[in-house]
Amino acid sequence: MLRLMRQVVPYVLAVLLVGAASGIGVLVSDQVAPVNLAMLYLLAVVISGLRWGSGSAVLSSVLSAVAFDFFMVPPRFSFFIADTEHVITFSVLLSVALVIGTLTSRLRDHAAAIRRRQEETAALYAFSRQMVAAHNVTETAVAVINHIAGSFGRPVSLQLRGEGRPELHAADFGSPLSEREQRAARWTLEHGQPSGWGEGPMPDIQAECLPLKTVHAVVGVVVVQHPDDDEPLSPDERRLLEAFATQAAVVLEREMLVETARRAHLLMEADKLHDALLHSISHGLKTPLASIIGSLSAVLDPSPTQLDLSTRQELLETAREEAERLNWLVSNLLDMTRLESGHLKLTIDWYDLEDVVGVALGQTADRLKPRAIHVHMPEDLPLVPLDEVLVVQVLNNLLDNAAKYSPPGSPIDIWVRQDAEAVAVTVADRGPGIPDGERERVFEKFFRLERPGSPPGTGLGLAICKGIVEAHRGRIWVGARDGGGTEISFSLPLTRDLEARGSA
Amino acid sequence: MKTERDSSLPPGARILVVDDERQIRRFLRASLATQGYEVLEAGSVAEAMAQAAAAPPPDMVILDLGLPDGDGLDVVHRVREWSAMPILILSVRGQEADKVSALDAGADDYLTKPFSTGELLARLRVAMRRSTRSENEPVFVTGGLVLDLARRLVTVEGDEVHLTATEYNLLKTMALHSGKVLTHTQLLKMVWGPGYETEAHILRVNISNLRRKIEPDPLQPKYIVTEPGVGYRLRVSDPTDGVDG
Repeated sequence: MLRLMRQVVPYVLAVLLVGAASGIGVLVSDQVAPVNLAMLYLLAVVISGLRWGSGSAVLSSVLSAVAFDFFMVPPRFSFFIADTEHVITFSVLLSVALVIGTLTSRLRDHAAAIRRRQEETAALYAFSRQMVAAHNVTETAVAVINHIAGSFGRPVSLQLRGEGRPELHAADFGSPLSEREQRAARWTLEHGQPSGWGEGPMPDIQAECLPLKTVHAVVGVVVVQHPDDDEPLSPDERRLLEAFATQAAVVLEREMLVETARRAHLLMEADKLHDALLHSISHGLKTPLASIIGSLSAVLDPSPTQLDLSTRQELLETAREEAERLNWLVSNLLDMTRLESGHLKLTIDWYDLEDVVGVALGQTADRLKPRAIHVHMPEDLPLVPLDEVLVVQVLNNLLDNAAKYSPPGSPIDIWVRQDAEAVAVTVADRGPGIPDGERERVFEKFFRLERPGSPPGTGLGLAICKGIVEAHRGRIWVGARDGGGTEISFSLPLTRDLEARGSA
Repeated sequence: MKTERDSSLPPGARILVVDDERQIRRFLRASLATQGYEVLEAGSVAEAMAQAAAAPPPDMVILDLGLPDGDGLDVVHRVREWSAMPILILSVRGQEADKVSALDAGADDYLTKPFSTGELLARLRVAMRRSTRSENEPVFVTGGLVLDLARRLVTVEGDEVHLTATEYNLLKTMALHSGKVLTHTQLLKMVWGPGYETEAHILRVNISNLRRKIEPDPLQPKYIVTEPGVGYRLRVSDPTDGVDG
């Protein structure tokens, strides 16, 4: 209805304008020659052409000629033309009006086209600026939707092609689609052709689906919806939408490629980690297994030469010790896996650090014997929010390392210090120390200082410590000890934002 | 409360072992049978419930928490509906929350896999002794620590120790459940009353103070043992009990 009105109005206005010219002409016709009055009509034609386009220009040309004949040419108020001179005036007026009308309307169209192109360029520029600000596929998709929806004032949806899968979709952004709209979108994605209103397999739906096409592929579909009996986009809007779609397709394709590359890189890293893990497993775990199998098979050996009782006992003892070492290594591997996968949940509560240190000393007592352990701890230490099992695990690993990498019999010191915001625990040994350049690296997974005769390990202990301490929002670091040796310290914050630290 | 009776289970006691790993059941059967116990086996929640309800019922249950057809915790809940038979939980490291749930649901104790037979037998003895002892023994003794419940008197190596009312109640509660691990929640509820279950810091501070008064070295406690992530245990003076769980 509105559309019809919009189409009719220019013609009505052209008629009114010619009417107005005729009115003025009739009023002044006594003083002015009819030939000059023709100029009035030419003015009306020019105005019609400039304002309302070629249709109304043609209409006003014809009407002007007829009205000129009727109102101005004697005998007036009749279509009869008495004078041959006026036949010429009439014909010239008609052709001049037609030519001027066409020219002016063309001028108008041209100006409008330039203005539109300027607007489009500005819109595309704004669009590209928004997309530059986006840093991944999701952000880009959201920017595309927001911009298109904002430009056309209509709900917009964007569907992206899934990674290497022909079917829709890895992601679905923006306004939800009806089932039929989804079918149309899928068709567009598969065929790379627009569909929806008036096009494709479902011309009756009130939505326009445009493919996001690059030279390589169709990366997705943008769907502009028209709720409430709206009308489709105008040709200009449609062209702008197509321009948006082309630009969006290029940017989205680039972002998708970047993400694919990033994922491939991660996979490669994971592969490297996997190799290191396998290497570590074969070295760290096979040694105790070899001892266990060897010792047990010697005990079970049915050969006639019987082992004496003390040898049997010794072999069984070895098997048990090695099994315990295996248990320690496997626990470390499991902890690492849990830390890495984010499945480690902290159970934070207030604990007495003296108690926690005591538990760790109890659990590592066998491995620390017969060293002297000196614990230096302030009397009035406050309770600390922590996960008891995990912090005990940190201390166990630090004590185990101190024992492994320092001469048997040398003492191990534990300091606990406190300031306003945190407590720090330091485990110090009298071993060879860690070279300057490798102080940070010792916290990397599978990093081991290669030294002749270093005891077997997985290279995970300190990485686990770091993981646990950081899950507590604490810090862990290595220092050199005055007089030789290694100091490893970790700090735990005293603030009780337990909820915020609920999970690692 | 120190029992003069043989510190092991009554000969021929029937122990139900619930674990879906055949190897674990085999080694438990071997070690328990050598000690003269009769061993029943179950590999699932369903089998466990059938065995536990059999006549005569077992004297004790050793229960793995992870079972193929359900959660060991269900077994604890269902057995506790009609029986007070001791239940010993087997779990792996990292399952502290599950251990705590099982203990709060009424399980008596837990052991973390892998464990030695020595630890297992010690735990069994403690659990069985608790289930058979009378409640009226007025004096509790472990090592050099003596708690005279009738006279509200605590001595360490013969010297009287002055405790606050709360510290005394805490020690008494642990003595009444000596050898058994008590979860943080259980201790808070028993000593401070309902509504205090989450006030862990009160418990920490009192345990710390109590240790300073009764432990020769609070850093290496002899009597009040910490079970990380779970709770505390008052150690009983069974010589084979000196192993950490």
